[in-house]
Amino acid sequence: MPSSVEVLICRCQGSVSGEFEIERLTKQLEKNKRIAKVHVLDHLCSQEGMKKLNQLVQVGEDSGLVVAACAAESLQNLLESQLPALNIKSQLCSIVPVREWVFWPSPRPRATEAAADMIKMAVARVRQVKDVGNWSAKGAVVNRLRCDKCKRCMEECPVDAYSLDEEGYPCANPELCQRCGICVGSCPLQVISLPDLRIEELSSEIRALKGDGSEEPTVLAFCCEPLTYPALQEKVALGMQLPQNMRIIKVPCMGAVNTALISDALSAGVDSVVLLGCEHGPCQQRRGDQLTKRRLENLKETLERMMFEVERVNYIGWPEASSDGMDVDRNICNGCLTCKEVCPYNAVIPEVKAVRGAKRIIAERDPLACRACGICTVACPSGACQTYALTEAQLLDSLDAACSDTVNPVPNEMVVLCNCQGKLSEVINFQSMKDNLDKQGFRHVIEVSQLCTPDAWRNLAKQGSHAALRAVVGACGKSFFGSRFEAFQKEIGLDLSYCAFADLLEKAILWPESPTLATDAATWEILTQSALLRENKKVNGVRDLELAGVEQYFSSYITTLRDLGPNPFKEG
Amino acid sequence: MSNSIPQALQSVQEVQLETDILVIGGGNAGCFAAIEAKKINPDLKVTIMEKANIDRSGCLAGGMDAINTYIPEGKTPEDLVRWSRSQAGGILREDLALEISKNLNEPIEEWERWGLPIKKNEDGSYKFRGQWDIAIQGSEMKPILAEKTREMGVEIINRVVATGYLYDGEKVVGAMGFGVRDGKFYVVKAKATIMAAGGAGGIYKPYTNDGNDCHHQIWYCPFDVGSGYALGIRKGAEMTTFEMRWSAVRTKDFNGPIDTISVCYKTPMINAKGEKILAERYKEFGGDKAPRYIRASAPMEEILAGRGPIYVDTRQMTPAQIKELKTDYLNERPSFVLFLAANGQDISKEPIEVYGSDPYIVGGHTASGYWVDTDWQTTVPGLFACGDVAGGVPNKFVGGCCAEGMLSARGAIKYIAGIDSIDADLSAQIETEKARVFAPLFSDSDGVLPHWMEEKMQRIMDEYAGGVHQFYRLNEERLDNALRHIRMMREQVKYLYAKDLHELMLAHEVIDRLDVAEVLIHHLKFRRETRWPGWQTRMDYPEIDPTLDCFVNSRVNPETGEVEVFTRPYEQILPGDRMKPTL
Amino acid sequence: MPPKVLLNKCDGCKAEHEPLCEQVCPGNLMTLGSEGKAICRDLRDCWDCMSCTKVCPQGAIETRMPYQIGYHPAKLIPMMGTNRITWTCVDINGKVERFIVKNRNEEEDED
Ligand SMILES: Cc1cc2nc3c(=O)[nH]c(=O)nc-3n(C[C@H](O)[C@H](O)[C@H](O)COP(=O)(O)OP(=O)(O)OC[C@H]3O[C@@H](n4cnc5c(N)ncnc54)[C@H](O)[C@@H]3O)c2cc1C
Ligand code: SF4
Ligand code: SF4
Repeated sequence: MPSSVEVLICRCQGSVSGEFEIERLTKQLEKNKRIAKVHVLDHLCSQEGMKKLNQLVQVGEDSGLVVAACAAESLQNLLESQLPALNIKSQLCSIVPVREWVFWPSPRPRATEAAADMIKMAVARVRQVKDVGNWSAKGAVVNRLRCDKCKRCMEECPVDAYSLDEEGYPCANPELCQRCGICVGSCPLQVISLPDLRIEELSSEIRALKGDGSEEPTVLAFCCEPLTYPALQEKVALGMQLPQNMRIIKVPCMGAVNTALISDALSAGVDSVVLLGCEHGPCQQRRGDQLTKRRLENLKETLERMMFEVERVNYIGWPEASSDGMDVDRNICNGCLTCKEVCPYNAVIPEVKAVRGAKRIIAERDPLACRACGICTVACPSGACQTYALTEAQLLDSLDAACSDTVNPVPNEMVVLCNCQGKLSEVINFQSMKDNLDKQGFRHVIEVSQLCTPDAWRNLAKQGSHAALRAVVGACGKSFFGSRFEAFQKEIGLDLSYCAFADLLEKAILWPESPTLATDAATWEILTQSALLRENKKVNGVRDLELAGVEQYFSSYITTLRDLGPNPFKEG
Repeated sequence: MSNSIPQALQSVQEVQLETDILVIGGGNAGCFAAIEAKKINPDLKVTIMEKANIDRSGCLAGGMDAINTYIPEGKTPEDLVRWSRSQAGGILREDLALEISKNLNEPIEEWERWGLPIKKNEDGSYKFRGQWDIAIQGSEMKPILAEKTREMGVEIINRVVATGYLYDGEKVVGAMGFGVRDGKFYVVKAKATIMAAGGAGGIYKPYTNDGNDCHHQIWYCPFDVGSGYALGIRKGAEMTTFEMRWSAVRTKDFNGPIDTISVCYKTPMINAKGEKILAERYKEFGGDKAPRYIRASAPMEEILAGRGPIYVDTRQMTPAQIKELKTDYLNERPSFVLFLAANGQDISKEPIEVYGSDPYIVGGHTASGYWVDTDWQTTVPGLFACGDVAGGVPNKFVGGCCAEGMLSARGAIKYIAGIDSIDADLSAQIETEKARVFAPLFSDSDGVLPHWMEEKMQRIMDEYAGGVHQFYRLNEERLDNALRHIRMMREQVKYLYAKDLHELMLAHEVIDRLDVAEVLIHHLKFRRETRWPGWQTRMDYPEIDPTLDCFVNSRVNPETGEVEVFTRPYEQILPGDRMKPTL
Repeated sequence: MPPKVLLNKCDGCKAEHEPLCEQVCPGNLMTLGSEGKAICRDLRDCWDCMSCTKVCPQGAIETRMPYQIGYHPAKLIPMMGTNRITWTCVDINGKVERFIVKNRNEEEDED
């Protein structure tokens, strides 16, 4: 448990501060007696920013840090690498993506209060962080002092990682454990934790949810790490409006949500709890959705007997499942079942199917078991196994591009490079990159400085409209920027499918001391993405989701909640 | 479970264990004893034998809302003992009580560190609800204690019912029992044995019981059946003060605790006419501060005088207080809140009706139990006792039981210092006990069911040995009648039939209760005076007899099997009037 | 007092040999019936300590007042949270009362 917690707010070079007043936010946070100090800086993800961070945050060994910034993976990595120097344990550091959850779904009222609410929740969680033997563990850890040996964890674990030790306590084998957290959610006594998931911590975070002070109903949304969290982030980037008082907590799987946490939320006065999970999808964690739904059914029955509105608790299956996974082309599969042999997850089921009139044995994928590892894709002698994420041809093409010196870009292929207001050009030599691309035959290379603003795109649309059939966009981290990119691409009339994205920031972080290497890597990345484009297929990670559906769902749900009135626990 | 029921005595599996210290009963006192022993010497092997599961067993199963004795700042252990002495009508072991009081606060503070929420005042100090009691939120106090017990490395054997001690000559060297889940016979040899199996509920018929689903609608834990006393009685250990029975004012029909209402919220007890009984009719005994037995008998006297029903008047309470009151109950006896709801009762408008409980033998509240020395060793070497099963010190409650647990562990550790191992041949007594224990499983199924005998015993005790239906009143002739029946039933235990292991446990519960009942009757007969009206109302001897200002003790003569009753003198350490709470 | 097992909710603790309610009952009263669902073997012997009701992970046990001492229908339902219990009591007239009690100290208490 940290002795104190400090908060650091990244102003994101102005892209955040316009929307909510940093000063007011700082004042609000400083009033909270659990927060020792509040720091504000610009562009935390730049070298400059990191340097500043080192100067600003000087805390003791057991202090916690809450960073209010963005959801960029690269920022996360960057911060992770800085923590040892800052003397902060990574478990005691939490990033709050205020940018995605508060700034982007803007304009919205009371954004400052919403940000403060989120930050306070994170602080409450960090304050509870404690090593219960889980920090050094690789998988789930059972607190044997409180375990009653009921073995429900064992029953519900999707990968059979549990066995009984000599004293009869269930014990997860770290080699098998996938850290899905289903056991954490299953435990009636709440005594299981993962290396980065402890119920007491989440409970504390949840109970700190107070809303932005408006009348709007508060909604606690659990999102899963593999699917709905990134998906929701994308939605928001595409302009979707989140309910004003919705707060999001990321868990590995819906199955990791212990009903005690839902109970905590409801009794703390939160108006509604939403579990945003998959729908029978090829969920990486398998069974999570079914188990969760069963648990919710039970809880709802209890709530009903409690004369408590069951509408306040909901499972939402994300409209379209993740496209990650593999598929077997029936027309090609010859039924040799090599895939079944090699599959480490037992995800292949031989099935008798009629293919073109004749009955044949073919391989079928068990969507609940498949983890899209791709081993079958490589092993399949007939090329019938394909992963959704990347076809074999795409894979080969990109390898080609990476290995050869010349690429033949499609005429009119455009490359947009964002130097992030000079932040990226601190490391990457943009001029040499441009020269290089020119040599490769790219005729439309455009450098911009702040692609994450709508203005930049409008300009771009003017400049590139004649050429923009296909484009490779080189900018900062995928989640940092990439999701916005989908929102803006419409403005210049690009079809998303013909647009690829290269993460330059990642390269800048990898080789901050070596501009040459960083520049080379960045160029390579552009070339690889361009090669992928040539397959004319949809590109990695772009999901075609029913935007309107989700948004509509939320808005009608909020209407329901408004009609219900406040949570009956709120008064007492 | 059916497959674990042994089919014949020969097929009973035996589990042999050896340990340094065996604790019988992993309740409040037992867990503290085990933890203390491990604290003093982590290398010791400490074993708990528990008939239920230490996570939720004994009095604390449902929770608690107060620690009734905790010494506030500015008060001394002596102050507490003086108060306690006066509350108990002047009879208590001052040596033991002082020692307990000196060790009273420490275990509670420790419990708090382990996770027990204690209510606080604004300034962070404990919130007292009465003179000595602090308010807690103890619904989970037992699991918290159990967790600590496991953490200390205590060996725990749950679901094993202790039935008899192991003997090496005069000394106790462990205990035997049977697994109520696995049907095995357990033999645990130990250098020292600490008895902590709680008091005795269910000796008397509760008025709530009319042969229906309310059989266990009693105040005391109905699963603490006096086995702790019975094991000692059978082996000739000396018992004290059984005649000081514990009966109390309890909520009518539910039979639940009342201190929460009357102490915490200072609600007066009123009769049907609205008179404040204690303040108006018991002024000379101290009114609301009258000794516990006076407070216990007052409402029953009112009812006899035609002024019932009796209530605690909750009508002056604020809505916030009522909410808090109910919350307190949810932490202790949650179903009382359900009881109020099931009667559609709004206690801000209707007061809560109260009535006397059935009598219990509970050394944590009165002074009944094993006679122990200042190491908490009983009169049998190697055998120690603590908690509700230990005698001499009334008003121990939770805190006192914890302290006694610790003290008995210290005594036991002192005792085992010179003992290397137990190598006596115990096989004969093991065989005898095994045959006795499993007999009801193999007896004629056309016999006596444990429930029948239990109900009969409870009715006899109620009618002839001063139960609640008799307004606790006793006389010699009725007691003789009770004794005659109890003896006949003890003769009949050979007809007890149990069809499964659970019924086997029930059979032994009634066997143990009968042993306790017999000793109790002897004590009641011996004290030919009325020292504690309500707890012990001798209609044939209504006055105090100054020659009985002493302890009444008993012991079963091993040769004759007869209960012998005798006295021990009172030893006063703290000067002053023993009937006065202060100097 | 006697526990009523809601058969549609009880899953017999997934048929592990000793379900939670059976484990905790201080009176050895809860057990698994032949259908793999919990039963209270002797309603008369229950102390209504509510341990079984609180521990059941499925919320499948409801404690009832015996009619002999209380009217029908009243409910008292615990919902277990992290270190706290949320109680709802519904009396025979349908009046609802709610209580939240903390049952374990946390590392750091709320302000
Ligand atoms: C309803 C109620 C409310 C109370 N309220 C308060 C209060 O508010 N404040 C306060 O200070 N005190 C209160 N008390 C008193 C206090 O709880 C007890 O005095 C104290 O807890 C007794 O501790 P113990 O260890 O002696 O008994 P227990 O905690 O009951 O432990 C006895 C243990 O022995 C086990 N056992 C019994 N027989 C056998 C056997 N044959 N073999 C193996 N194991 C066996 C039992 O299962 C149990 O675990 C209350 C008591 C009750 C019943
Ligand atoms: S604890 Fe609940 S789910 Fe488990 S067996 Fe008992 S009633 Fe059924
Ligand atoms: S309420 Fe208590 S005594 Fe009754 S069945 Fe449940 S656990 Fe057992």
